Amino acid sequence: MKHFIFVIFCTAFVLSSCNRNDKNQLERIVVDGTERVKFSNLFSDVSIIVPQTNDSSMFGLEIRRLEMHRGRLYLLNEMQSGKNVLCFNNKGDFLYSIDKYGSGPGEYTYFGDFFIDRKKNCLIIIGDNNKWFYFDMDGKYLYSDKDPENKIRYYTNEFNDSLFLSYVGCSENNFNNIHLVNRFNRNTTYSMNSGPLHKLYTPRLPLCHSNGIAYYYCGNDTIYDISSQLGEIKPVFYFDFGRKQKEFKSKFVQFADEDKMSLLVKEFKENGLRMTVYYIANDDYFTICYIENSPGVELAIFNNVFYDIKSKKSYNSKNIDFDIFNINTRLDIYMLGCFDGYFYAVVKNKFSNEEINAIKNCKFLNETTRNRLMQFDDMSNSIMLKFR
Amino acid sequence: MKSSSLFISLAFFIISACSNNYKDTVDVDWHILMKETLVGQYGGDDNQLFLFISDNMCSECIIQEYLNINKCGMSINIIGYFNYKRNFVSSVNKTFIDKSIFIDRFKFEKKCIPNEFPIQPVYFIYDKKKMNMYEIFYPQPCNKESTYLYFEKIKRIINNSNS
Repeated sequence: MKHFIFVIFCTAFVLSSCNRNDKNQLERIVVDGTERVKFSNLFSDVSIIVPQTNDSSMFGLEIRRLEMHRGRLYLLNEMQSGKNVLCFNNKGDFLYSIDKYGSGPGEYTYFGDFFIDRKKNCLIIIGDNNKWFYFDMDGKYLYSDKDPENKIRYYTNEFNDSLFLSYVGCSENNFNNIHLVNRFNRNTTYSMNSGPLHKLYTPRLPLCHSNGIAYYYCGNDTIYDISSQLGEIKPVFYFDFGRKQKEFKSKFVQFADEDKMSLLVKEFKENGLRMTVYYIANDDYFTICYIENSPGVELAIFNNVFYDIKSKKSYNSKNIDFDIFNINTRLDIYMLGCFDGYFYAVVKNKFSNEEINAIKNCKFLNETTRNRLMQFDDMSNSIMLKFR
Repeated sequence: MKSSSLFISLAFFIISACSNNYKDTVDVDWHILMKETLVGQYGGDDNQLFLFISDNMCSECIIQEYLNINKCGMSINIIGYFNYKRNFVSSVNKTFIDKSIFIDRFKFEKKCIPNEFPIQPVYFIYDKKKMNMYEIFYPQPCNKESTYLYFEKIKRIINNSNS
């Protein structure tokens, strides 16, 4: 009997310690690492792409994200007048755009997101009335179809051969639900009721996948594994934004729901609250972007943190020398995605003529890129980086 | 001596009045900016339809007007008041926009204060001969029918003025 009780006690102890999900058990990633490092020491394989500029290929307000397929780059371009898809080859030559606002056949009045179905080799735009618009890989319209689940998806991406990863947000009741939809119409719903920013703020791309694991991240610091098809959400690691952020979180949960948004805005504007914008990973690095508002600066600042999985060291872009460009200016980079182990980013700096001249001489340029930089001006598309 | 100083100050007054440069901190009305820009930059046909857009308008509002224009098969010119030219150029729909005119918001607002500028797209006809704008229309997003009726009226006006 004693043995029996001992075994039960031990089993209960093991199980309870396995189920503990508090932050002490999670891998902690320090955001404000102070170590200075050169970009070329972190990433040895770097290419610079200058996407060709003409009236049809011009970047608008922002490039939201990127898909890469068979050597072509597909960019989600957000303009003042909606969104379109811009397609370039890997040298940056413009191939075509998909811009079909209208009410005729093959046209949409709303552009939510797009993704590439690699199995069917087609590009899908999530349009109005839960409709999917199919295009071939040369931008020719094929047909349209109802969403398999008849839901509005704010973000959809291919996860693996059989699964789509979707972020659904169509009503107040399932505002923070995620659907993993497989091709055979079986889906799993994840109810994201955890996290202090629930129902208040969602990053633009709340999902990503790497090494066969699908991740969800809301606006605060924790990254969740949502790979299980059973609807289980497992926090895997968190980015430590420092003491102020922790204090905010403990204060935040005490506020009534209706007051939370104004508190969030106040803390962001006045007290340096940091919000997660995206999380992207490859085999070597986790990278997170956060936005913060510095007093006296008109625009909020985007900072990237690269966490080296092997050495467990993190590097904040505040402390990275972007030596690859031959200039002393800090690069304002915005990550667009990760494909075949390569990170893709757009450089948001407005370069002076002197800086462009310095960049022309850097060693990571091919002939096409160098020639394009010769004609670089205010109207040119932003420079892009590919690195690992 | 008195008459010469009077002459100089009068000449200075005339030159400054003829100049297009606004004085510092002067309130400038939207109509005045439109007319001055079109007189200076528009070299197309008489009595043409224009759509005014700016970067403080919501994306959905601009898309809605593009959809209306496309549906009614209108040929239109666009005038954009933007901080960055690239944001304007990328926002111009290439399929049905004839001419596009850019106003540099940043440069303009350095010199003067915009007074009652629209925060939603606005249509108007510009009469090049009279250097005047008329048939100004503020579309309502929830009432597309009124926009379609406006377009019908505009088509008649343009056809009559051309015949």
